[in-house]
Amino acid sequence: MSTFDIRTRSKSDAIVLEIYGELDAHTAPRLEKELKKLIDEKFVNIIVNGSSLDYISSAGLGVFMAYIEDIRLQKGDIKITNLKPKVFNVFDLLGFPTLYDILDSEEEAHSRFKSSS
Amino acid sequence: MTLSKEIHSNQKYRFELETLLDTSRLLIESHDVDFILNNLLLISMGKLLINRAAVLWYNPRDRNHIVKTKKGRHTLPDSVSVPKEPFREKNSLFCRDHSSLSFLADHGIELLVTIKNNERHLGFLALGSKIGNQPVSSQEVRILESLVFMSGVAIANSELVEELRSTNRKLDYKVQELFTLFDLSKAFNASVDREEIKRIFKFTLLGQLFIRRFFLIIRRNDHPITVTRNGLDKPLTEPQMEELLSMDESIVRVDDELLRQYPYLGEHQIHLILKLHNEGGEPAIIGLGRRANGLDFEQTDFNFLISVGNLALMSIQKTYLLEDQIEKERMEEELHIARSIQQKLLPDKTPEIPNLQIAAINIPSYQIGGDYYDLIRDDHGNLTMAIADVTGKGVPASLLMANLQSILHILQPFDIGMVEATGQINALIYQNTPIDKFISFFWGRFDHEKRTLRYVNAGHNPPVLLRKDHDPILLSEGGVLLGAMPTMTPYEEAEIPLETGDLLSLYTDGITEAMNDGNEEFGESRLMECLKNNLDKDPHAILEAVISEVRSFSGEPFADDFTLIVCKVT
Repeated sequence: MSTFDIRTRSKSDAIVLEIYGELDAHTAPRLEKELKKLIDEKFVNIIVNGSSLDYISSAGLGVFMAYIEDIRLQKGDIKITNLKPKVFNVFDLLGFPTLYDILDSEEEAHSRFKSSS
Repeated sequence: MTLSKEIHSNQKYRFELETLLDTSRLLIESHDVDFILNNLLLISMGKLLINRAAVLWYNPRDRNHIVKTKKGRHTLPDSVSVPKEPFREKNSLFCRDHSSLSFLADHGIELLVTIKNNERHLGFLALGSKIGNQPVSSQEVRILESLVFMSGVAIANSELVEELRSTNRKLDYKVQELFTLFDLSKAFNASVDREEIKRIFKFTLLGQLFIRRFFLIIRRNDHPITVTRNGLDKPLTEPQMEELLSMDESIVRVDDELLRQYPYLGEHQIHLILKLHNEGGEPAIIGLGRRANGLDFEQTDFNFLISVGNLALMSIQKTYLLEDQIEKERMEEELHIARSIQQKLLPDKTPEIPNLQIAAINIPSYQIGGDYYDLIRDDHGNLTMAIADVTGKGVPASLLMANLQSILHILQPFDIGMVEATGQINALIYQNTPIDKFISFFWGRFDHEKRTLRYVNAGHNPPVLLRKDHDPILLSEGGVLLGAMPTMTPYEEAEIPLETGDLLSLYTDGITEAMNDGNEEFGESRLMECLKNNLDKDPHAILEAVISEVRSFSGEPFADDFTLIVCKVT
């Protein structure tokens, strides 16, 4: 099993979360903690870079759902980028593309944030 | 045929072939019905120089044709009824030639070509007239028929591909659901933290089906409780929960009728109620709001939701069971400590008293009991002996017993008479106990010089004094049980002279009320008999004899506390 990890870095006006490994029911609370922390600190322009995300379960997706309202209320957003095809498939199957910006690159996410601000 | 005409005809033929080839290439690669139809229209119009065309798409439900794709100016309505009979023999017909089709001609449609696949009618390619009203040649009709034929095959293919794609997607979704359940059971198994289980449950409902509002109700210790809820402004009341738990159906979509019956479901925006299969048989339900993406719940979602609910329910019950177990162990541990404290309140060894041999035992039952005895030697070598039985068992009884013990020990050094002392003890116990708690109490003072016993019996089983060749003497002078009423009339005391060889036995009802398998009590007469038979032995041997007799009568362990004091005057 690959080790789960979240690394945070800031890039221009957004915070980038890189997620490593498998985001499942077991690891979902860690992403929750991270998102909560960002919201508390008023960092609401969030880019989730999934280039190293190997697996996502619906509990993992649920974390995004649980905080998206708070984030959008504060005029921010979660934009998801660089998903592997297998992982994108799960997002797609459950209908996430209609609710979230799922993009190919961080640059696209940045420019979306810029154009919306 | 002239050469130039032949060359022209050849060129035209080649051009037609190329058109067909191009079209077939395009159609093979395309799996998009709209694209195929659009392409068919454009090619037909371009090839034949026709300025209006449409696809009439067959709708098997109303047997009419929907005007699906149209190009150029015409006045066709959205749906038309085209008779199929004229097309039994032919694939294409000119509308003017058939009265049943002439209404199409009025809308500017000259020619219909059937689009079909394997005899399944799909629709028509409807074409207007050529620019300049040139007639459509039979060769052109043939080309059109070929184009339409290829399009028909391509449409059938693309429908198949679409069906395959949708089946695949459904399958993918199922697999994803299974992964979710697998993931959940793994996570739930690994956790005994109820908060974590509730969080994972919430994330799963959110992530899989976009459900923000929900509650989970179970019954625990005979009361419904909302184990977890999300998105509800206020909790459900107990009667509301009872009502929901008692619903008969496993799957309930909240409709207008239900909303009238349970208006709070509307306030909470609950849309669906599912019954869970609880192993303990107790009902449990989940209530769910609408999906945040606006989609409706489907039959397959119910199965998934019930599975997720059951998994969560099982794990949550597991955490409760664990807590109960821990609580039980904690209570047992406390009882164990209470019992050992209680044992310490009893004398750890019998004192040495001139002219008196003493043996005493207390065997506690499994529970904490309320038996008490004491043997206190004063500075003159005299003995105060006491025996008592508190009503009931458990911690309340042991507290009361401890209370009595301390009163007795505090009063002991003071030189007050037994009558007054007993009155004071009663007053204190009466103050300290609820109305339904009493203590049967006997105490006596043995004066080793005078060889007398002075005693007060407050409602205790009368101790027995056995003397050789003499009837048993029962020590019953005294008064009512301690704690039953305030001390109004003084207790009475009695003094009896003792002789060498006299055997004094004090006991609690744990001995006389010991039961055998036939629900028969050991009783006073058996005890008396046993004491008489062992009268010549020393107190320890007598004690052992009584214990073994009761044990063989009722078996072990003793249901009640067993206390016995045996004293022999020497």
